[in-house]
Amino acid sequence: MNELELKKVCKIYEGTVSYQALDDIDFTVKSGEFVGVMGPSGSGKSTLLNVISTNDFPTSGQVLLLNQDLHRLSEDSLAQFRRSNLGFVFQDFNLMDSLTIRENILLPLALEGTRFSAMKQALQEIAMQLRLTEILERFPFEISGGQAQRVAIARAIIHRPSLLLADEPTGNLDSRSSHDVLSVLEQMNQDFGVTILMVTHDPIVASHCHRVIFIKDGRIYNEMYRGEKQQDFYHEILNVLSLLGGARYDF
Amino acid sequence: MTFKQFALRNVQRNLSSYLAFFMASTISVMVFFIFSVAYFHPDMHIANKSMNLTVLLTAILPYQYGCSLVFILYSFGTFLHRRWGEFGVLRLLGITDQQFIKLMFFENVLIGFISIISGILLGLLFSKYFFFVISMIFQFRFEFKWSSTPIVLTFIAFISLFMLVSILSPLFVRSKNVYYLLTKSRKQNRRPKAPLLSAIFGITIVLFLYSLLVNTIQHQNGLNNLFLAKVVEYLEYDNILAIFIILTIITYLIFSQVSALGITLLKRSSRFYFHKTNLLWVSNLAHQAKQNARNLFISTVLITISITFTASLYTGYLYTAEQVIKDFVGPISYLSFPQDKQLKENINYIDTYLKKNGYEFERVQIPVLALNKIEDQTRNEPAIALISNSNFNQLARFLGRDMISLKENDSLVLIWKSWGPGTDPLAEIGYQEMEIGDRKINVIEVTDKPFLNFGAQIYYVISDTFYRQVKAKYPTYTFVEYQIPNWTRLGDFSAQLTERFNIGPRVIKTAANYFQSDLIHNKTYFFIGSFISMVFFIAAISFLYFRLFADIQGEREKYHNLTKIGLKRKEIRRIITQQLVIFFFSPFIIASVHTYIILVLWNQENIEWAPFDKILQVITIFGAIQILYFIWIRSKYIRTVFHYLDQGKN
Ligand SMILES: Nc1ncnc2c1ncn2[C@@H]1O[C@H](COP(=O)(O)OP(=O)(O)OP(=O)(O)O)[C@@H](O)[C@H]1O
Ligand SMILES: [Mg+2]
Repeated sequence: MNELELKKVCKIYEGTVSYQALDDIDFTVKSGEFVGVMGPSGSGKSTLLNVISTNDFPTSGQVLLLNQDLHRLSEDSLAQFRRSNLGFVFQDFNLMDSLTIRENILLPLALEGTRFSAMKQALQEIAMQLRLTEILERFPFEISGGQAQRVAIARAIIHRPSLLLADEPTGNLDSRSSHDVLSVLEQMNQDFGVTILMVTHDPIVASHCHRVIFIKDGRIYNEMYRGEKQQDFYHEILNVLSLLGGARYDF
Repeated sequence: MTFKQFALRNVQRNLSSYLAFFMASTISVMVFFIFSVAYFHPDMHIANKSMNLTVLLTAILPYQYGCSLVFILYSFGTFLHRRWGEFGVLRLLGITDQQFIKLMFFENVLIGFISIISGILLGLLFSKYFFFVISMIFQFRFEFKWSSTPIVLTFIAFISLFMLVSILSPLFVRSKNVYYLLTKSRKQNRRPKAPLLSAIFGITIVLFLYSLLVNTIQHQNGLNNLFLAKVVEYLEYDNILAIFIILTIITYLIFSQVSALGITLLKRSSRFYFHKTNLLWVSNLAHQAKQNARNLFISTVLITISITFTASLYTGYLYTAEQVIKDFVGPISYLSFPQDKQLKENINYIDTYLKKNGYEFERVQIPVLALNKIEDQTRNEPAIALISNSNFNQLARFLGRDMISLKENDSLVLIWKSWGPGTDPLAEIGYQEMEIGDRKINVIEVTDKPFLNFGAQIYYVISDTFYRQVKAKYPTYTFVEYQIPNWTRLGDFSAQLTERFNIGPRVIKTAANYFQSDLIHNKTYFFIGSFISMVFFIAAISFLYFRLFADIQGEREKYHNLTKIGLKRKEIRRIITQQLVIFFFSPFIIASVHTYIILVLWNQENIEWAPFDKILQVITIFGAIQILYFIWIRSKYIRTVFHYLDQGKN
């Protein structure tokens, strides 16, 4: 089954100078896939994720999630769909200042009306995996950038969404924390069949994906499937990147 | 660029963030100005009977100034807080303390100056229009009199206030280091240290103060016995100010402590707290608890003042007749001297008139024995008279009071308090040592309830046998008292009676001729007072408005982020409504209760003048305004948030 299907999606930002951020994007993600998205800064990766997550409308083209064209739904049914089927990790975390870390993580479950005992259970597991147990009672301004990122991930996956959209989930993390995050994501993917679409600048992280899509200037530049060995995939990715960005590419 | 120019540019550029502070200041100035216009209005002082308004104004003017001070300091604080980021940058660039004070001073005096001018202009506009309307309605010359006193007063009062604020301003910022300024402007709240302990302490005080008030209400002379009331009275303010002070403290504690406890308890019950959107609105309340407390406190105090003011003038107006008649026994009292030969004839004349014009009435005739000449006004000592027990009982039955049965030398003493202002006639004589015809009187009770409110200042009620024994020794005066249910319409007849009878060996006292003028006064006061209160009230709820819309940028950003993770519009609407309901109606409910307490204590001597239903009427009217305002603000708020959400996705 197709988890996600994009058909000729264009996105033009209107303004004093209108800017085409996405140009004729076409691709499909199967249920249970773990897909990476790579590309130079400003190439349209975040825009793509916003359009997929229904937080932004495409200027033309269609986005089908679980075979439904969500952009036709009403505001509230959209919200309901997002809440129960999607999880997000935003590039700038979007944690709520007035909530403690515990409350931030539990927010999606609370909105769903989950029973409190079930919430506690889910929280405990996820806090262990992402090493957040120590900081649960703090407020977002009392934790480091990397911790905030892990909190954002915990919040995105606590309700076991069927599609997880992550915008640079390892952007601020050292390699150990990156590894923790990756193993949580892989576990979600393998054990619960969560489909993952993840933007990353890190070729090592990308090499854990089943497939990597490269974007340049709002267009799909290349697409690569992982073979048997992760090490080989890593080198292939590096090759594409050097072709893709050259000096413009920063990481 | 000189420093002055820099300050000026700074105001120009940050206009939107200055606007809230400016509006708040303007409203304070306007309210104060309208009060002082009313206070200095010459017609305000002509009335001598219903002094309510003048008394209230005297109490309220300094109180209002205090409130303005607190309020302006407070809005200045929030205003600075919002600019911490800016100050952090300035400090980083090396601004000196002196330069900072200078900057603040220029800014403040500039904003202050403009808001004083606009506040006074707005106030002039309002009061002029208002006085015009009054004179139209009452056909009663109550013009707006152009006088410079309130303008000068307002100007001086507020310009010094703004200077004070700017001199204090470095204190708000100085102690903080640059990092704190740069980062804290976004992230304010820390958890309070020991919320439970201080909350329980606060609640104890609140309960104690409430029980003190209830106790005061239950006791006849409770208000006068209250320690604080004595202090206030000593300072020559009306002792109701003590109640204001106590209620202000209660209000503060309710919002700062009791609400903190409430929030802590809500948070503790996880099942409730983590249920759907509760998490969002409760945490938001907790997050802004400190700021909210101050805002809610200020608006509660202002709302209390405005409702109390209106309600007391309203009941004052409704009970004009009762207030007038309080000083009389009945609407017509006739005191006949011994040499008055026309008593029968005159009474007949009055009866005939009343019958002919369809007035129902009752009448009693009470003879008294005068120990000294009642009609002699030049005497220094109080006039004393005797009443027989059976005559007294007749009078008591007539007035609907308890009868009495006296034996031998026992006596009940009636005193007429208004003999001289503040003096007790009993203090002038040794009333306990009274001897009549060799018999020493044994006083068993003294009362200052009005029985025969003119003639003698002291009446001894004595047993019938005693009375018969001494009757021959003293001249007999005769009181004739009327009770007429519809007396208020007897104005012309009363004037005629006074003119016709007051020249013989008799005195006649009538109430109805005072009634009309008092009624007009009270009506006018009610009208002016309720206008002033409305202004006050609107100022009070405007504080809430400023508070809400000053923060809306952050709030809509927050909702924007929340919709991204699937918060529904429906739910946003519900969260906003829940918050606004608390914001708008908790001050109002507390203010209503406090209004009732104040009015009951204010009218403690005549509790029937503070009837629940009439006060409820006033509260309902204010409540209706509040509800309309709430509906408007809510829809505006939701629209602003949703508009932003729609903009986010084009
Ligand atoms: N709201 C907007 N209005 C106009 N242009 C925008 C808007 N948002 C993004 N853009 C532009 O669209 C392009 C794509 O932006 P996008 O955020 O998708 O980049 P990105 O690939 O996520 O980059 P990065 O790796 O730095 O996060 C950029 O050139 C950006 O300037
Ligand atoms: Mg991006």
